[in-house]
Amino acid sequence: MSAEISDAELLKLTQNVWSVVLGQEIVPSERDLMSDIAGDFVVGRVLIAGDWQGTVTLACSAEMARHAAASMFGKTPAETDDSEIYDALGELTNMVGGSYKTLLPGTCNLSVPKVDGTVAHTEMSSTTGVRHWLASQDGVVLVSVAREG
Amino acid sequence: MNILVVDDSTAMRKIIINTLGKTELKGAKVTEAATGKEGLDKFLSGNYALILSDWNMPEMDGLEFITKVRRADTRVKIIMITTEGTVGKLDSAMESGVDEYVVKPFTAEVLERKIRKVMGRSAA
Repeated sequence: MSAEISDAELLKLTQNVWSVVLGQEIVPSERDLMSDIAGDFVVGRVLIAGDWQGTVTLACSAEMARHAAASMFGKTPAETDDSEIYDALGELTNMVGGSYKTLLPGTCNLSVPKVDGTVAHTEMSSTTGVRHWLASQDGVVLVSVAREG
Repeated sequence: MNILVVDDSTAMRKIIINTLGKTELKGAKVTEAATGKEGLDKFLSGNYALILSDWNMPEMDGLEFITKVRRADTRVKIIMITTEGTVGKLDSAMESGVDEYVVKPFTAEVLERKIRKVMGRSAA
């Protein structure tokens, strides 16, 4: 559990964003998928401030992020550049964070999403808070929520 | 007809414009802006029938943008497209002059229906 929102709700809202925006099913995994990915990740974060304070982080394996951006921009993965990948991941993070915030009690505000760009695989283990892995044929997604205070 | 699409995400603007192309508004001239401030500048120098605006944007957020648009124009139709699903916040958007809102993530069908509704056309 994270605050008042269940792990199942966090997974469901993340799956819903993928389904509605990308038309793709992503499946939760009970095991840590870090070891399945050798390459880098693209990481987006939004801060939630107010009656509940914390960070919602969405980390996609590089191939997953590229395929997501390609879908949103109507291009092929090979045609998709880094700026489009960061833009798309920022918007996906915004939607996951916004959906999470909507479930929180009280009054909260959502920050503009920040995308860190490419993050080395080895740095991903430092992500704190509740962590859930999801996967599709394009790669893996790590969604995490860290409450502050 | 001129339409203004305001969203800091290029991907989201593309999705919105693609959806517009599926409605009776296909063929309308669409102008894009990446912040509320840019959107306001373009609105004040143009003649728009419809605005589709994000809420959560840098420089000037969507609520401030809409409030300033409404001070200048009470007739333009405005749809807020937002991750903000909290009832109280959506109420404040409607009170600021938004005609309709769409909560992200949304399907093309939902946005099409809202566009047709505010533009006075029957839903598909």
